[in-house]
Order: sequence, then C-alpha cells, then structure tokens
Amino acid sequence: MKEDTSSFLPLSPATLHILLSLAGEELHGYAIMQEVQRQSEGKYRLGPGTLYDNLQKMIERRLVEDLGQKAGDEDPRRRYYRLSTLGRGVLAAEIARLDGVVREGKLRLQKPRRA
Amino acid sequence: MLRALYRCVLRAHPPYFRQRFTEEMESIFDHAESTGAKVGLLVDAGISLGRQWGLRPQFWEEPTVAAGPDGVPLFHTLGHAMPRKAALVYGALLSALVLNGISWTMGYAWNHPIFIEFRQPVITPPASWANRGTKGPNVPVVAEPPLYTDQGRVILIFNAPAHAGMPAPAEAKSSDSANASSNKDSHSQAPPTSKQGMIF
Repeated sequence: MKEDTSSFLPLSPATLHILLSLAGEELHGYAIMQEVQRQSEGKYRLGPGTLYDNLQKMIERRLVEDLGQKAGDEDPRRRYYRLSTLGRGVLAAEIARLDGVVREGKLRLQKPRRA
Repeated sequence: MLRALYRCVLRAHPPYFRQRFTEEMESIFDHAESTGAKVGLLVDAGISLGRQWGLRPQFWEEPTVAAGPDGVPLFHTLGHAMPRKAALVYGALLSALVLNGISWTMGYAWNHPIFIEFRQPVITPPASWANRGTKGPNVPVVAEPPLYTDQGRVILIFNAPAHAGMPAPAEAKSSDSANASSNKDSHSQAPPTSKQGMIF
C-alpha cells in the first residue's frame, strides 16, 4: 500500500537535512552531523541530542531504517542508518514543494513593485 | 570528568533511548577534541534529557511493533502512549467513588453498637447512714435497692429514713405546698423525702 507523503509535509529543517544527508548513502550518526554541516556550509550545526531525537521519530515513522552496527568499522559503537523508500518519497515531495516556493519567490521578487 | 558527567546525563535518559543511542552518543563525545566542544555536547545532552522525558512519552519504552519479513508491521498500536484526558477524568471519578464506598462501608461497620454485659453492683450504704436521724437502736434498716444503669447514666436510688419529727412523705408533699405559699420569702430548705435519687 502506497502511503501518502503529503501528510509528512512540511518537514522541519533538522528532518530535511538528515533525510538529505542519507539520500546519497547509508551513514552513522557522526557522519550525518558532519554531512549536515557541510550541506549548510557550516550554518546549521546539529547536536547529537537533536539528531537522535529526530532519527528516533523518523525510524518510528518508517522514513529511515536502522541497519545496526557494522563489523569492521573503526568504532564498533556506531550504528548505520539508511533512507527507506517512503523516506525517499517524502524527501522528493518536500524538495518539489520547496522548488515551488523558490520559483514563486523568484517570480515575485523579479516583478517591479507597483507604486 | 566531563566524560563521566556526560555519561551520567546519558544514563538518565529514558530506557529505550538510552539502550538505542547512548553508545553512539558517547562515541561522538570521544571525537570532540576541545573542551569547549565537550561542554557544548554536555549542554546538548542536558537539553535532550529534558526533551525525552518531557515531550516524548511515547518513546519511554520500546514500542510493541513486530515486523514481518517484508517489513510490514504485524502488530501496531494506533493509540497514543498517554491516556486521553476524558479517560483520566473518568479514572479519577471512579477512584473517588470507590474510595468513598470503602470509607462508608468502614464507617458503617464501626458504628455498630458494642454490647457489654455490665454487672449490676449492689451498693450498701454506710452503716452510719442507716442510723442517721434515728433515736433508738431497734429501728429496722431498710435494704437499699441495687444500682441501675441506664444508657451510660448511673442512677442511684436509695432510701434515706426520714429525720425524727419530719412528716411522712404524703404529709410532706402537702406541707411543702403550704410552706411554699406561706414562706415565699424565707430560704428554708424543703424537708428531705424518704426516697432520694442521684443520677451520675
């Protein structure tokens, strides 16, 4: 059964950044934090408390899958997370929504102001 | 020192969160190099502690979701972790009713009268009383009636022999009314009757 992605929108900045960082590959918590910092060019810093609170919610809503610990990792305490199919759909819907917002914003800003 | 404190804060988190994320959060703390970054992580953990206990009651315990091989949950709880407000009100009302009922039942049980058998003591007046007001030694002594109890009150009824020269009870009654009319202003005491009673 296909779940309606619009019920998840709009996403909070933390959720959007986490989903975006997991869109490329599966990552552990520390790598997600670094990826979010890189995406935002250092403007948005995610603390572990916020990260794991959001991951917990996203796992419960089945947007993200917990893959558990990986053998052979340099730190065996790390757990890896992956974007689920539903999570990918929600991310795509949010990007489309933001795209519409950006286009509308640009259009309005380009129009000359009426006196 | 900071690490031990950080560990303590993490251990104070709800069980499900602690079990799932504590190890990884400690790993992130170990990656922090400067003291400032470690203090920042400590503050972040404190905020997370408040958030998890105050705003995430649904994650205090592990959710009872069993997933099948294809990832479809076999069982899912749709309700909220916290009971509805209406349920809380009904629960409070029901508790008050039950408590009231228990209190009433206990009160009813305690109000039952307790019957204790009292022995009726016989009080014999002192020997000096028997001879009081009598002139001769051959005056017969009248036995005193027993002591009666009446719902917590003690009634003592005894015969006091009339003083010598005093009228008999029947006469005393008539003379009492006569005295009352004739000696209105006088403070003379009424003559003692032959029967006297005291209620304690």
